Formats: sequence, C-alpha cells, structure tokens
Amino acid sequence: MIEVVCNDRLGKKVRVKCNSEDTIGDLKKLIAAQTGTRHDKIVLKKWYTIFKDHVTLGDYALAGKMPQWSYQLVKMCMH
Amino acid sequence: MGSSKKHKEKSRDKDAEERRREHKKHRHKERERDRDASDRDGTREKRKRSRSRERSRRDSRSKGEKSSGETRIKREKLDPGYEEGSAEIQPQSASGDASLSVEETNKLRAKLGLKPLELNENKKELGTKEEPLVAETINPVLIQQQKEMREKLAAMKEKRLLNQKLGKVKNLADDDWLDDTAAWIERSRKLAQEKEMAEKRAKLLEEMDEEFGVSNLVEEEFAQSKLDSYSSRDLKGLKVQHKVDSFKEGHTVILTLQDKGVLEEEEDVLVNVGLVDKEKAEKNVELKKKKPDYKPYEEEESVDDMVTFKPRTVLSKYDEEIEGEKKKSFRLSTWGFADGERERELQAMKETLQNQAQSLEMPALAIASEYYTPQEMVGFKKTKRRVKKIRKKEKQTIADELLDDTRSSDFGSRARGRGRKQDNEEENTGKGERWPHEIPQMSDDIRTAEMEMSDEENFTPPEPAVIEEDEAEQELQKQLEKQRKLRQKQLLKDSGEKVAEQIRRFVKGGDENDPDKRNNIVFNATSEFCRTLGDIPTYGLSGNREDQEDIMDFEQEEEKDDAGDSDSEMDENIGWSTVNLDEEQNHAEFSTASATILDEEPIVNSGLAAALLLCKNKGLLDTQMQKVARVKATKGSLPNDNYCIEDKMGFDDKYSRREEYRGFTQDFKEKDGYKPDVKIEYVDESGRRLTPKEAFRQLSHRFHGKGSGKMKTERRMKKLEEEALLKKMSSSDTPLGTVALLQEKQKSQKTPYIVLSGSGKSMNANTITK
Repeated sequence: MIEVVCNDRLGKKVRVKCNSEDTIGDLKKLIAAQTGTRHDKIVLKKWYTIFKDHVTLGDYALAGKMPQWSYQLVKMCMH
Repeated sequence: MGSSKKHKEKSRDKDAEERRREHKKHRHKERERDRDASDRDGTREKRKRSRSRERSRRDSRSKGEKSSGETRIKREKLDPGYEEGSAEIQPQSASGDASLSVEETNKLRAKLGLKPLELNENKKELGTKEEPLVAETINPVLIQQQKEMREKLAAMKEKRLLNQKLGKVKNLADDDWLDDTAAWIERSRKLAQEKEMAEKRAKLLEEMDEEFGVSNLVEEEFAQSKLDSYSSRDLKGLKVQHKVDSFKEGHTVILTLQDKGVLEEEEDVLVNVGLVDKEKAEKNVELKKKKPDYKPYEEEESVDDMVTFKPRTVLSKYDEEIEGEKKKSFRLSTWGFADGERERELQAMKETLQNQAQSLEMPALAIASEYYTPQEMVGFKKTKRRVKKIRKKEKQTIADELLDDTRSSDFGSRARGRGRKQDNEEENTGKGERWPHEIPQMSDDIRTAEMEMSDEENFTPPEPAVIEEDEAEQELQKQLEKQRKLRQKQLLKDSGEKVAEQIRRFVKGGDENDPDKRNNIVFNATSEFCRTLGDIPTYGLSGNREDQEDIMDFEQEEEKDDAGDSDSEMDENIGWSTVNLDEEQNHAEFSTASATILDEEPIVNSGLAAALLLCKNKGLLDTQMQKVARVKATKGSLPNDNYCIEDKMGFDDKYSRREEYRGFTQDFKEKDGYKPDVKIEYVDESGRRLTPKEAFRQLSHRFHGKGSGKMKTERRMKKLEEEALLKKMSSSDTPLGTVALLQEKQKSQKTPYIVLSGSGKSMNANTITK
C-alpha cells in the first residue's frame, strides 16, 4: 500500500491510499471519491509529465520499495 | 463580517501552529512547508474575500465549520462515490489535506470494484528494520533432488499413459491355448465350425444378394479392393534418382526405396545401391582431377541448356556445397515405364534452341596456311572449263532464207515444215513450167505481185536457224544450199559483167544466152500498166523506174529472141498476145533506130526503149547503168548483212520478239529493197546551206518567236561575209587584190617593177588605194 498526495494548488489536497498495482485511472477514481471532482476531469501531473490512465503506479515508479517513497507529490489539475 | 474574519484568522493561526508542532521532526522540510502554507493562506484569503458576500447571504451554517475546499466541492457537481462517503468521513490530515483511513479506503475501493489495499506487503516481502528477514539460502543439492523427482514423476506419468494406450494389445506369449493340446483341439474345432457357419452364411447371403441383384455391386467392390493392392500400376509418378541413361535395355536393375528419416515428409525415391556407388565413384574421380576452380579469363556469362542467359554467380564452385547436390532423376510413367520420351523431347528442344542461338564467338585466329587441307581439297572443285556451245551459224544462203521464209508463217510440227519445204523445192524446180500456166488465169496485178515476191524472196529477212533439225532435213538443206550457192556465185559474177553485157546487147541488138535473165523476169503492176498504155513520154526519165524499165528491155529482147524457136517459150507468152503486138512495133522502131545510128532525133514518145535509147545517146545511160549495177549489187550483198543482224537477234531473245519483227517486215515485203537515203538539209533565207547547229538555232528561234540580239546577228553576219570573201578569194591574189593592182601598176608604168617607197603619202595612196 502506498499513499499518494495530490494537490491541485487551489485548495484541494488529498492523501490517497492505494496499491502500487493500481492504475492511474483507479487512483483518479479514488481521488474523485475523496475530493468530489469527477474522475474523468482529473489530470495528474508530476512536474511536466502527465500520467496516463492505463499505466500502473508501480510502472510510473510512484511506488518505490523504499518506505519514504511510499507517497509522492502529484500535482492534480482539474478541468 | 468583521467578526467572521477574525475568527478565520484565529483558526488559521491555530492551523499553522499545529502544523509546526507536527513537523517538528522534519526540520528540513519546515521552510518549504511554511512557504507553502503561507501561499495557500494568501489564496484562501483572497477567495474568501471574493466569496464572502455570497456566503453571508446564502449559507450561515457553513461559516466557520467547514473548510473552504469543502464548500467549493459541494457546489461542484459531485462524484457519486464521494457523495455517499463524504457525509461521514472527512478526516483532515495535519497538513490540511484530506486522507481516508485504510478501512474507509477499502470500502471505497470495494465500491469502485478494486481489490482491497495490501496492508502488510512490505513486511512480508522485505521485512522491516525491526524484523529482518533471513534470505533463503540456495541449496544446489536440494534443487537437484527436486529436479530428479520431477523427472521421475514425468517418466512415470508417461509410462502410465503408454500402458493405458497399449494395454489392450495381446502378446503372442499371452496365448495359453498353444500349450494345451485339448484346448488347441477345441479351439481349432471351434474355428472350423465357425468357418462352416460363415460359409453357410455367406452362401445364404449370396443367394439373397443374387435375388436382390446386389452381387454385382459386391463383386465390383471386391475388384476395387483388388485394385487397391500395390502393383506396378502404382509406380506411376515415382521418382528414380538416376539418369535414364544408366539403365540399359534388357538389364534388370532392382530399385529400392531410398533411406530417409522416419519423420521426414519427403516423397519416396527409388534408388539402386550399385548405381549409387557407381555415381559416387565417378564423382570422386571427377574431384581427383583437380580442375582449377578459379578461371580468371573465363567467359563472363554463359548460356545454359535452354539457351537462356545465365549470369555467372560469384564463387559458383561452392554452389553445390551450399545448395546441395542436384541429382538427376526421372519419374516413372504408367505401369512403371520410363521410356525417356520427355528427356528426348527436351533434348530435341535444347538442340533446336542451340541451333537458333547465335554465337558471337569468333573463330580463333590462325595463321593462314598456303595449302589446302585435305578436307578443303574435297570441297575444292576444279572449275570446269565451260565449253560454250556455240551453235555454228550456218551460213545461210538464199536458199535457207527461202526456206525460212516459207516457215516464217508456220511454226507447226516438223513434218509440216518438211512438207512445206518439199513444196518449196518443187516450186523452185518447177517454177519455169508452172508459172506460165498460172499467170493467165490471174489478174495482172496479182500476177506481178506474186512474181515479184518470188523474185524478191532473196531479200526477205532471214530466219534464225531452226535449233533442232533432223538430219534428213539438214541434208536436204545442204543440197539446196549447194545449189543456191552455185547460183548465187553465178549471179554475183554476172552482176559485174551485166552492165557491160547489157550495153553490148543494146548495141548488138542482144544475144540472149543468159539463163539468169530468163528466170529473173519481173512484172510490175506499174510497168504492166505502162506497157498497156504504151506511150508516156516522160516515163523512165525520172530514174526511179530504171531497173524495171531495164528489165522490160530484157523481156522484150528475150521475147524477140525466143519468139520463133521454142514452143515452150511461146507457151509462156500465151497470155501476152496483145503485148506482143506492141513489142513488135517497138522492135521495128528499135531496128530503124539502130540502123540510122544516132543520126536522127529518136522518137521518145514511142516507148520506153526509145527513151532509153535517147538517154544512152545523150550519155546519160552510162550512169544509169551504173546505178542499175549498184542496185543489183546491193540486192546481192544486202541479204548477207541482214542475215547477220537478224541471226544475232534471233539468238538473243526468243520467238516473241522475232515474231514481232517479222510481222512488221512481212507487211512491207514489197518495200524490202527500199532503203531511203534520207538527208535533211536546211537553208537560210539566202539559200545558204546550214550546219546542223545553225539549223537548230533557226528552228529554235522560230519556235520561241524571238531571234538572237543585234550584236550577235551582226557578228554572225560579219563572219558569214568573211566566209563568203574567203570563198571568193582567188588563190592567186590576196583578198585586197594587191597582185592585180601591182600588175595594173606595172602595166601603166610599163616597168617590170614598182618602187616600194614608204616616204611619199601620195605614192602610198597610189599603190594601195585604187
């Protein structure tokens, strides 16, 4: 289990617990559940890379084996 | 409003404080966080300010209780999952971001259709610092054992499967009845019984089949099964991996199936072991020859069997090693025959193609030998001297010409020709007798024409020698020729003498012994006409009828001579009674004339003879006689010339042209002797004879309607004058008449000289000018 911190820098900041096997799409749904934003309107970014829905978090190396990597700062944009 | 603001600020401060407390441990992040927080606070403040009015109006409940983020979410269109869960659970993390507990998240995940969170994952896999996990040691022995066990199990499984499969098959040894005699007997009996039963059944079935007509079908089926058995028929299409040539007629070669892998899906190939060995041996021998692999100067490209262009591949010598040996093979046709017909056809095709192909190779250069090789000698033929078969031109004499003439109109069979000739001969021989009889019956004109023809046959264009002639014919010809020659000779000899003779005759009154003259009687239509007319004063003076007149004279003389003595001659003259009268008159006159020897003026109008006489007396006859001679001579000599030309022509091209020519001449036969001496002369206005050049100029001027220019005409006139002067010029004097002047001067001065002094002008004028 990892925890991902998402911040849209407009007042929404959530910590989402998820598995590293979850896809970005799943994460988006979780985020949506927590924030109330529609999941298909969420774009997750880390710096300038936009995460794609079908890729798992593990593959994006958001989930490391080390515990300090267990949560990441992910910029969240809402459209 | 102001109170609410205060409250907000307070709460915010509290927040900041809490955060600071919480993150005491993470000093390194503190600053960042602070900045972050302040940023956020700023934004929030702004937002609050903008929205404060709304909030105050609408929703008092939300004041202070809830964070701004939540209010905003509420306003937005909410996610369904959120709506359910958001009511109870909205835990805020220390840093102000919302976070759900594991259970809550699991619930949420369940709702979303995701698997629950893996909680103890990390611990399990890697262990933590507190409980480090001991890594499993790798024991090779154990692995080996496991592997062996696995293999064993697999083998057992396979065995089991195989047993299951093959368990139904009976072994030979399994039969126990072989050992026991009683059992064997029983069994054999059983078998026999079964057989009998089977036969009975079969019979029954057959009967039934016959009844229903099924037997035929069954038989067919049996035949089919028979056909199914393997026989030579099935050999069709089978491949034999040897050359067709390696099998000889009358030798039996046993072919076996070539070895091949069991699983290889290749077609069956028939091979003879001996032949295979032989081929191998041959190949080895070939390899031992050590041919050079690399031929640097070989032809760049070669042509294969089918004469298709085959470029040379690189290192073609390895082709066989790479692609494998290409073995020659053929296929058996029906009933296992292989007659190599296809091969033969192929061979033929190859040959034709090879023949069609054009080789660009030039024959190798070789030093030319000076001698023929024996092979060349065979081809060398001595050129046979072609003996030109020159048909000897038979010197055709008049007789031949005569013959040819008769033949001219008839190109029929030989016999006819011969018959004709005989006729001709008869004619020739019996001419003297026959003519006189015939003449009276015919009209004068016709008679004379015929007579002329008979005489002038000498001048008919001679025929080319007939190519094929019988010997008899030739003999006949020879005879005739001889005769003719003799006659001709006489004639020719006579021709010279004739003139003198005739003159003599005229003088003497004629002695008539010349047989030729007798035969050479010529009657002319005009002469006859004239004769009957009697007196034409100018007749014969023009000179164009001289010969005829001449001949007439002879006639008269002959007649005179023969009047009394020979009956036959008299017979000839049967039809001439009236003429005779005239002639008698003539005769009388003639005699008188001769008596008075040139003294009297002869009477010309009395007859031809008189006119002639007159001519003779005047000295004209002499020339006339010469003319006659000339005409006669030409008559004699011309045929030969004509003959030669004609002969050549005849040989040159065949009948067609000759025919044409003859046809033309025949029409004008009577004009044969007529050779006009055409001389076209032109004269100018002054009567001067013009040269051909001048004549042409004149003609051209007349034609174009314009003459030459003034200058030209003047020049020409001058030239003409000069010419005229030159003609006038006497041979003894200069053109200026100096000699005459000189003489005159001498005469006047009475001196044998004149003084040539160039001093005085007057003198000069005296001497030169008149």
